[in-house]
Amino acid sequence: MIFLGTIREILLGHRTFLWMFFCLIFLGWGLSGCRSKESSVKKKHVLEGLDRRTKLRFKSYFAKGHVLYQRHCSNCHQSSGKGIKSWIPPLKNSDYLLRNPKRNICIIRYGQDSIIRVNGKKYDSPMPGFPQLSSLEIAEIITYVQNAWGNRGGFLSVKEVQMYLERDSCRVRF
Amino acid sequence: MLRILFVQKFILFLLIGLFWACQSSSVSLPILGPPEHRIQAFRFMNQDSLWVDNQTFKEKIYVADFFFTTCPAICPIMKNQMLRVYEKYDSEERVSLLSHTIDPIYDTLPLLRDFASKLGVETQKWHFVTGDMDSIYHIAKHSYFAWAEADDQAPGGYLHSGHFILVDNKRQIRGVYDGTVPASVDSLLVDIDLLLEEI
Repeated sequence: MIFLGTIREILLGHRTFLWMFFCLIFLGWGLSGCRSKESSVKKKHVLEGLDRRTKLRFKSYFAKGHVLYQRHCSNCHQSSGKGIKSWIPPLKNSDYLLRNPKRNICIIRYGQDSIIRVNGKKYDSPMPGFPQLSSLEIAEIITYVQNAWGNRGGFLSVKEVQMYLERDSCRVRF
Repeated sequence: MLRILFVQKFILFLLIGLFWACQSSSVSLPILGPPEHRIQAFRFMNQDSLWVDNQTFKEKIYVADFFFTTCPAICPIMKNQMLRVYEKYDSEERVSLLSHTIDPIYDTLPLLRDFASKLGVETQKWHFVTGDMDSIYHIAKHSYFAWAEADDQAPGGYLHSGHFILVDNKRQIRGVYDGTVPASVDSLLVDIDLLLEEI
């Protein structure tokens, strides 16, 4: 009782201290709300409905894809995925990228040299192919790119990549 | 009494410190290369089919580099860094940029023009130039100490250094920076400010 009484005295005795205390609590509450909202929404959306195994693979693909992206793709498309002006198209929020995941597989392996339209803007710089990348590496890069920077493309397995690479239509350069 | 003295001393120290800091910011950049080294006379054509020569940069400082439009390796990152310089000195008329193509056979004038418009830059500030292949390689090697050569093994067919060379109004080299490293370009931006105070 004496202890509580002392605390009360301090709190009431020093008005400024009391205000600071409430402000801190309020600030902490605000910040924590902000943080939990952001992270939970992101993870829930992408990993929703996947079983435990796929979730694990997703995370592993994403992490390795990030490293591969930095090495092979970020020179042109930038670490931020924003591309460079009208020269190199963005991957972040790119309708071209997210509309057709299968096409991305073939573009990474064989390159592309036609005029494409990304978010309503025309791009005609050719992209070289990366024949040295394995099917698994392609799956990892695409899983990263489809889900980084706020993209919501989901998971792409190595099996799907192999399946599309075997098709003849893939070799036709886009 | 003792306390007042202490405060006085503290303020004095602070003033000396501030004064020293102001003094040290007026250092000038070194002049690089062998004694009396100047960028040799040149004459190249830019994306607007206009001649670019030493007279173009008479009252200016400029940043030079070497690239080619189909370069898949370091050029995109260099051009992205050069865009930082372009954007910072957008309204500063005394700063220009000069990019030489090292693949003049493929990089024709219309192609350079197209490239410049893709980057959304104005000719007045950023010249993309082409010319006789030998003279470009010669000026790269002997004037800018940059290095470029054709190489079948290299991605895109050419090897070249990714350096940005800062040249003052007297055609002297005042700084060399790695155009593929953002931190190095940070110091280029600081050095341009320093050099602008000088001219």
